Amino acid sequence: MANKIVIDPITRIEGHMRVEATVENGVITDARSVGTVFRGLEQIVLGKDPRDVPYVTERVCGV
Amino acid sequence: MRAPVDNKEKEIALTKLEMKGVSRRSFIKYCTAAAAWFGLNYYCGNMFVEAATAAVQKKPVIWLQGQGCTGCSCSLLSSINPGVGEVLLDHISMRFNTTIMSSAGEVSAKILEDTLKEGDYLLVVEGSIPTADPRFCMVEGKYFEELLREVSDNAVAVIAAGTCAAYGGIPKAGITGAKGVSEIIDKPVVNIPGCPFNPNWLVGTLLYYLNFNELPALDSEGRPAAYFGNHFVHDTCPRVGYFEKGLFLEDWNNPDTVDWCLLKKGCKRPVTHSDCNRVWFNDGANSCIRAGSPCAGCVQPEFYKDLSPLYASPLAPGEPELVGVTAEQRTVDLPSAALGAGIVAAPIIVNKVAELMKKRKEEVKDGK
Repeated sequence: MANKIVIDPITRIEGHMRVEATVENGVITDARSVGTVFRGLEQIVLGKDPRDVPYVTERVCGV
Repeated sequence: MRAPVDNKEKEIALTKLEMKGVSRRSFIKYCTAAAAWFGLNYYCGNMFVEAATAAVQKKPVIWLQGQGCTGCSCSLLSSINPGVGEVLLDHISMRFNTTIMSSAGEVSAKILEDTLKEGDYLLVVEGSIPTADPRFCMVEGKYFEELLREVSDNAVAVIAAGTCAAYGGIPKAGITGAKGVSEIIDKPVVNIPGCPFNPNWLVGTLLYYLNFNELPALDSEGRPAAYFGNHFVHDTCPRVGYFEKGLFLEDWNNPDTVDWCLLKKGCKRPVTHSDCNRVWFNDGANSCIRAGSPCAGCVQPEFYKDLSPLYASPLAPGEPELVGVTAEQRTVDLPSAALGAGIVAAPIIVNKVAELMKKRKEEVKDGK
């Protein structure tokens, strides 16, 4: 009997994460994890002064 | 105004704080300093102490995270020694904060639901809200924008912590249409910008709210005037003396000029309002400019989009050079006209630089 487990939000991490797992007879047969936030930092630094890039990219994760 | 505090409850709360390593003395000192910063009489410090102890483990706080980096949470939580502010906020019953709570998934969703039903909670938001497509930020399978509207409906006060939550910050420069909390919800919002913010700004504002049951005086950008609007980063800059003399750092590699004014390295302090240079970050360890970095203007609504490039000189090629009063002029002419000129010259130069920055911002907007 397949049983789907969804854990959202995952806590004690930076940002947002969701994990879905399918369990069959006590064995995980399928699993996926999803990052559920997008900021487009890659596009922000496109065409910017190169000296700005460390300032922006260090904000990817503040933990 | 809040209800009077039972002495026994106050003692219990103070003992709880003491067990966490915050002595009675340092706690009262912290509260009095917070009151003083708002320009209140010293006895208000004691009122803040009572307000805080009355709220210990009672006032629920919900901390939502949108498009942020959790840097603001970390600014608050990972000081070297647990500071008074950190312990206090921990004790004001932080019910929902996905970075520090031990439960996950359904259990944490249930906690949020229960706190919402209970009502009378404070809401702190970290991170911006995407408007181009709500799917850019999802929490518990819901759009973050929807969740924010739902949670803010019954909140007694909404605090937008960090520049992302206050004005959109760095994500605003991207394609996700990121906006600040005050642009999404209709309730009054206190903005505590900063990238990251200084925990004292948040805890002080909370203390003020807990005591008076109303939000502190705000400046034109929705920030507590006591921490932002009343201050000008330039005025308290440790390098302002070099600025007046017209000594500007041009080469990072020259050891003789390390303390000189950073204006030509893109310092944004002529347009920035905050008390950074007075209170300092990391439990009073240092501030950006003292640590040798030009001010990025991170507490301003224009940050980051309209203040970039951060490290380029505000002077375009061909602009008149900035001048100050040289050391020679000071020694030769003191105390006559030159000193007078120095006092007058400095504000003129600051205004000039602020003007240039504004002009360039408009040029960027016009797509030049």
